[in-house]
Amino acid sequence: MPGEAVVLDGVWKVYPGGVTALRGLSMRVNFGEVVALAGPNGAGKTTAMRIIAGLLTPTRGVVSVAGANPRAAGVGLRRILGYLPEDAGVYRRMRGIEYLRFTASLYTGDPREREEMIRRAVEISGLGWEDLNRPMGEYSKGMKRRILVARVLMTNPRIVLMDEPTAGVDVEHAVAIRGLLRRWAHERGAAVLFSSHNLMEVDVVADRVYIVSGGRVIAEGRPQDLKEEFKAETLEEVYLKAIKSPAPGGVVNAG
Amino acid sequence: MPGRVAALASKEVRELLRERLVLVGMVIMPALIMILLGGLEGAAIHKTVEETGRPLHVAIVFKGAPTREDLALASLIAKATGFQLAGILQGSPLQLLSKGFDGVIVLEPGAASNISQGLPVSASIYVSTGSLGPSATSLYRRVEGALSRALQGVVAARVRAVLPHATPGFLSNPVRAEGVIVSWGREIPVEKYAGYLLSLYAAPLALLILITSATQVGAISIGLEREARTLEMLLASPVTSSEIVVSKILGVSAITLLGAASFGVGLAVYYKLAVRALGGLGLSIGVGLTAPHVAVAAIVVAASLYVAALLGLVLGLGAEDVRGAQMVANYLGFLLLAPYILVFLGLPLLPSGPSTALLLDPLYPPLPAVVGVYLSRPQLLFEALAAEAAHIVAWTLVAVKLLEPERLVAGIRLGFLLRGRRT
Repeated sequence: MPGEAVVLDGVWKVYPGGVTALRGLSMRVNFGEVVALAGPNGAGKTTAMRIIAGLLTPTRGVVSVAGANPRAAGVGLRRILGYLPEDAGVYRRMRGIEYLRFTASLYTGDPREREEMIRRAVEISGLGWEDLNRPMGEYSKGMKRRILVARVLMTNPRIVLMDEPTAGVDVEHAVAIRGLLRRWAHERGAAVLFSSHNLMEVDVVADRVYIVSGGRVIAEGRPQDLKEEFKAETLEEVYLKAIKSPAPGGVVNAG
Repeated sequence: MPGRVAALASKEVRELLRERLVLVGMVIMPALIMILLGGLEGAAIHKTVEETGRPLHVAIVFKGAPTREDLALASLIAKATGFQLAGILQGSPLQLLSKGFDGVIVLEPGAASNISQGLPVSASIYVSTGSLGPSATSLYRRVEGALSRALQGVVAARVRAVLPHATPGFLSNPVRAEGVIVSWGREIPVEKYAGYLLSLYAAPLALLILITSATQVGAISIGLEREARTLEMLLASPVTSSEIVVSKILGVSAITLLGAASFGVGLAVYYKLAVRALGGLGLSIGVGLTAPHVAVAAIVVAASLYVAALLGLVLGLGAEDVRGAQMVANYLGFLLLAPYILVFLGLPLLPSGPSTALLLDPLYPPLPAVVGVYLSRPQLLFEALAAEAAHIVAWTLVAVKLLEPERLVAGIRLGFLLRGRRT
């Protein structure tokens, strides 16, 4: 279907140790929208992100990213996909600017394109030249996260996956990152999928929300529709109600 | 693809060189060790008889029945040197050496007649050493020097008997000696001892250092990625596992080449300090080197550094951080390098069965390659080359397989996951 960037249909993931992370997860992310994944720890959010990024193979079910199987599509798909893992780190002895140059060189051989990517990343990160010329091992947690977000967005990806993008980032820069995610979807037409434990952030940023628990979706819809459906003031209330008393038959689809 | 590999490899080199451990271990240590070794060994070579306090226990024997004059001459030599006159040689000089003698002087019958005619005395000098390195030559020099001085004394006494005020300068060295150094059961002609030292002692030692370091650097390379948690983002970038493996190996190989260059500098100094000191004693390298043999040996050594780095990479995948990776590389690396001890124990050439079996050890082939050059045995060289080629293919496939995102991200370990203790 045109407009669909990510489709997961009945996806299961059982790890070799026997842990079942996903139990028939189904979801969609369209180009031009911001979708949030919310759920308790161990709900399967990170596993879902990794499957979409092509790093894990689902045990069962169908996965389509930009119309292709992410495990089979290879380098071509990864060129249009930007992924920020939850616990991503930085090379501690590498300077920030070197890291951006290195990343750009993985995506293009054209020096002008590389310069454009680096310029974009510097702007997104909000880091000054002094900081960019320091080894990243000296950065605060928030600074590391900001340069990683910049590293993901600098390549102008069509599909953006971010696991806890604002974790450890101060309020000012968290607001900036949220604005970026919305701009990337609404102005550039990218598909943005992010996970967050901060449901106020989800309420502000996401066009649609999937609440995941036990490896499957238990509620899905626009934040406002979910609040109405669950008769709740905030998304946090929606979340707690959905987690404590999930719908008997499966998914609450609001709106 | 070449652009991405170049970018990854250059990142690898920069990051590795920024690790103090790599800089010291790979770039500084090889040169430093060889320079120190050269200094110590050079000093050992130059030791004089007076400097080494212990009296020598040397047997003087005749190869065949001596004349009465020969026996008288031998008695004079024994009296002057403090050596022991042991009669006619029965069996091999090695048997005498095994009875606790430091050396054996084998005199040709007719020695006294030579002295009378102003000719040098022919003698074979065997010395035995349990030590490694060039200190054996010091022992040889002591025995040869003592014999020479004793004979000069005899000549001088004879001349003085006729011309009381004369100085006997017509025989600067009254001994024409053939020397054999017996080291760890091997008889090495003394003029080939420098070559022996270089090929079967310094080169394996250097290989040991370089290969251990290459394994370590390979393990550190992947350990750094794991510790920094950068691998997942890298795997989600438009690069393949094979590109990551190849670029890491290229980066590590560049570092090991730096290590080799550092070792080269050290070896040059070592040569000047130790081996040239042997040259000053009239000892040549004594190795029949041919350019193709040296080229093949160099290829085997370079390939072995690649395999060592690759092995380190594979081992490092089983660890969680840099120190864990180093521990794993140390444990298995030293186990695989155990055959190198064979050289120092004097067994460079095993029977063909065990020797071929040892080629399964990925770190072993450079050793027979170096030995093959020294002994001019092309078969050893080409066996080593074939084994190294097989190792490169096999270990590259293993590394690419292990670097599968599924395995790394899902946390499927190798079963020996280690975390280094931070100090």
